[in-house]
Amino acid sequence: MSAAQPRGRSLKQAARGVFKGLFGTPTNIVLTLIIGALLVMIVPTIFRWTILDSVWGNVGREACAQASGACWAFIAAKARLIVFGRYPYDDQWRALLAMVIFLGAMAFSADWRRWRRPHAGRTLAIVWLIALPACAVLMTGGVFGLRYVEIDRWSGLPLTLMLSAFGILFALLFSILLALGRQSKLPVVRWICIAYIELIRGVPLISILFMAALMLPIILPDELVVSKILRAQIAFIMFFAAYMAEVLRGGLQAIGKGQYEAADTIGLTYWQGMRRIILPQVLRLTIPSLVNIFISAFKDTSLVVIISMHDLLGTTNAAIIDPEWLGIYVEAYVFTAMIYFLFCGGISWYSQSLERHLKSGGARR
Amino acid sequence: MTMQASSVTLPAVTFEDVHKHFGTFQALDGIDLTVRRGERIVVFGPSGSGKSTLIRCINGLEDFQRGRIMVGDIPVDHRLGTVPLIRRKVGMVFQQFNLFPHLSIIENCTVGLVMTRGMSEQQARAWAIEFLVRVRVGDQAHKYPSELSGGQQQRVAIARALCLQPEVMLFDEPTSSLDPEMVKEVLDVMEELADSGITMICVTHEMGFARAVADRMVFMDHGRILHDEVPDVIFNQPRTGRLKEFFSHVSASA
Amino acid sequence: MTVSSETYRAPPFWRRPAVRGVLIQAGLVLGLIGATWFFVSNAVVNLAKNSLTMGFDFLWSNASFELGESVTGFAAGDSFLDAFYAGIANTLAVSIISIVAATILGVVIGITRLASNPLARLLSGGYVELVRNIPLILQMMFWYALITRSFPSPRRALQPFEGLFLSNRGITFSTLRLDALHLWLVGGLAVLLLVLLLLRRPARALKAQQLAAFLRDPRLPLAVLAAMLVLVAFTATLDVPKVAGFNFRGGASITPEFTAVFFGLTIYSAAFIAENVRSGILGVTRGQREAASALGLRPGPVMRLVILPQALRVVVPPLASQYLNIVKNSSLAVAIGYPDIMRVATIIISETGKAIEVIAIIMAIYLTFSLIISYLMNVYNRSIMAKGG
Repeated sequence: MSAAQPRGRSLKQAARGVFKGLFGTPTNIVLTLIIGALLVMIVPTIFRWTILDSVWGNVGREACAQASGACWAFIAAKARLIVFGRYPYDDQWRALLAMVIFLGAMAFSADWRRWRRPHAGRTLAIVWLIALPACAVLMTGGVFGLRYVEIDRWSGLPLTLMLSAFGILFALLFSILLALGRQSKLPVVRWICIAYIELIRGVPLISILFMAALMLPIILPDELVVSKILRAQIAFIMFFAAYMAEVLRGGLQAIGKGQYEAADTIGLTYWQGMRRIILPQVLRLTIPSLVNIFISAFKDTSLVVIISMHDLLGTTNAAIIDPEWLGIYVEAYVFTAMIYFLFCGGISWYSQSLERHLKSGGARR
Repeated sequence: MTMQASSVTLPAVTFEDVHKHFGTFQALDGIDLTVRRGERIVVFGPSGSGKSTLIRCINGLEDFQRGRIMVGDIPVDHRLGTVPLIRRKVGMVFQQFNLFPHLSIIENCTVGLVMTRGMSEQQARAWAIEFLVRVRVGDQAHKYPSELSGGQQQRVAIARALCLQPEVMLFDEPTSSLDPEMVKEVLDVMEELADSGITMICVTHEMGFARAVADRMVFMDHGRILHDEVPDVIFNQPRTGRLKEFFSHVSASA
Repeated sequence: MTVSSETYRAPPFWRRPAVRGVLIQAGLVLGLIGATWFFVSNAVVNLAKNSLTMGFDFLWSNASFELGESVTGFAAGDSFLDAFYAGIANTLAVSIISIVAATILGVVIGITRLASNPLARLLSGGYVELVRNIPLILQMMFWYALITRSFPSPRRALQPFEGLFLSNRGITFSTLRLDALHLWLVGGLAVLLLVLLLLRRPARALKAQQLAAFLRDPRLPLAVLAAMLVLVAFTATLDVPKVAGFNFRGGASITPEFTAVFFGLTIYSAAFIAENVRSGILGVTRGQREAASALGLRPGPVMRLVILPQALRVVVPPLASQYLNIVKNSSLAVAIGYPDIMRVATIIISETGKAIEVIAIIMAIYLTFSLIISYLMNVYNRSIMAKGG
């Protein structure tokens, strides 16, 4: 293995490897030349558009008229609209603060060094029991002199974060029940779970969203019909739970029979054994696949634009129809795409390092 | 062999004409067996003879089709739902240890105490550590199973079962997946345990252990008990039929 | 020794596993029935309030809307059922074309990710990471905006080459036009070609040696193909699009909606297919290094001929689920107005108010797609098994 070799030599070798890869064979030379030419054509164009010829700062529409590059002035002017959407302009600091608190609590919980400390569970529970109500109070208002903001005005990034975070959390809980039900010895339970999982996995998310948006108001009595946002939230939970359940099922099957027997033998009941013995192992085993679903869930919250809600993508679309800034849209989509990219990339980077950490047995110290 | 108290106490485990089959394969074919309290039984026989099935039926890991098994005064009956009661009285050690890999050694022991005996975490830790010391892994309590050798892991498994204070201990080939140099450390612990007076039923091929510890040895083949004798008889009497065949295989491989 | 003080009492009957099983299942069934009853009775009340009824009769009444484009030629005045057919056809049209394109692009990128050329690896890796982490619907909207907002008007359409026009009306291109007689002739030859190709394998088992040799002669299908081309070349007329007013006349065109959905689905799905292909090849070669040397073009075609077919077997099941994803993801077309099944459904709901029925229909349609694909998958798996693979 090259890891065992001295560092300097392996570096030199790596350089030689790269050179050989680039020019080692006739095919590689041709490939390198073609890609190189392509890059020479594209990269400077992109660089000019984004940096050199672009207009920065909140300088207004006119400044962009002369420039041939990107009009970042548009983003500067519209950033608050894109990020916070229809949330009352003067109160957007509240939404910002709520997001900071929420992401902070996330970052706090994500640090695995904390998980092995004594009372880790209690600490995390306290953090969230403070963070979530704080976010809710900030977003909703109505107390402490904060103006009341109805839930239907929540939009932009806070809405995207809320839909995906609660969607993922509750879908995971629901999926555990589904996965266990699918393994159940009771035929009725098993068949109901199989039918649910296969039905949901067979149809697109939008059809579930339409169901929540259009069908729920019909099949529920008026007093039970919740706000559109909550209905969309329910749709996400229902949808992603089916996919997570399939992943968990694979994990449950991968746990050896011996673990179930050992849990039985020391006298744990079915639910005790699942909670303390089986599920922790299943979750650890299925982190990579679960995270892939988390990422799709985060991306797919953008589908709520179809039922005319203003999540991050919805506010982006709202920003580009401003007649004053006619013709400017690439900048907006690039800006929003980068936000999605950073979040998705962040999640997958975190899951990869967590996986490496668990594999190396680091969580055990 | 002592006859103490056997007339006044119930047997620890009794089998009455127990039959079990997996599909068409007859795993247990009319088992009758009585294990008295404090007795140490070694069950042996060729593979596929039904010895593992026999002890797995005792704590309800396997169901059986006909006959009756009693642990003390409790019938092992899946339909009546007595299995949870049985599991409070019977501990088991597996061939593959089956420690919980995501829990530390001490947690492997405390999880049962906390969840089934209603102990607090601290009580359970204090309680479990004594048993870990007894099987000589007390200094490993905060490690994880994968950091221990096979022999250490199996001793932890014994401690995990013991700390729940069972009346009967079942051992299902506890040394079969160990490297030879680790077999002895596990057998030593088991011998000490035998001296403590607990009822033990061991499926094992360790004949030295059987000779030293067993009150009775049960030889099984094709789901039947062919011999049920004291070790002296098993080892010293002229052997016949399947038992002879079995011993010739064992000595040939040893 | 003494008997333990607690004496055994049989557990209460509800502790029996069988009894618990029956109780739990009965409770579940009753709960489901109750929920269904609750939903239905609410629906009846709510629909009555808006003087709507339940039922599927509306399918046969006439629809008054037009669809932007329709493979089946749907027009206002046709029935709602026809509208559903049009939606299904449009969904399948864009899905199938995207599946073909995404497979080609995905396989190329997947192989490139394991190439020995670091520049190629970097580029394909960057593509996958970028595309996978941006929502598909955003990508589709971007393509749609790009075409409708930044492409020139038909008058100033871009012409990458003769007969192909890129404009804010989509992609317009010249077509060949055949009269009915020649169209039938060409069609007949195409069928003949297909039959000949299908016969090649079974022909080996034929008793009649001469006939077998004739059928297996590679010149035969080539000759048929040549005949087709000659026929087309001499009888077809070229239909070149011309700008008339604000749009093109003549030729054929692909709408901006279709193009955007097609671009979005292809580019997005190709990233996932590439990952499947990559892991399939890695699975066969057991490691990056071997894969790189195997695909490093120097050891050459032998390795590629050995490894790629093997990898294909591993790749087919995840590929099938990617295809199903493409069909399901094509429903995002509704966001930019391409009249796929989902878009048709929303139009019908807004015209008739039949939300429950229409949603049930589209779910049934997508479930049918899923069942068909998983059925084909099972057939494929069985044939692999039969070959001992």
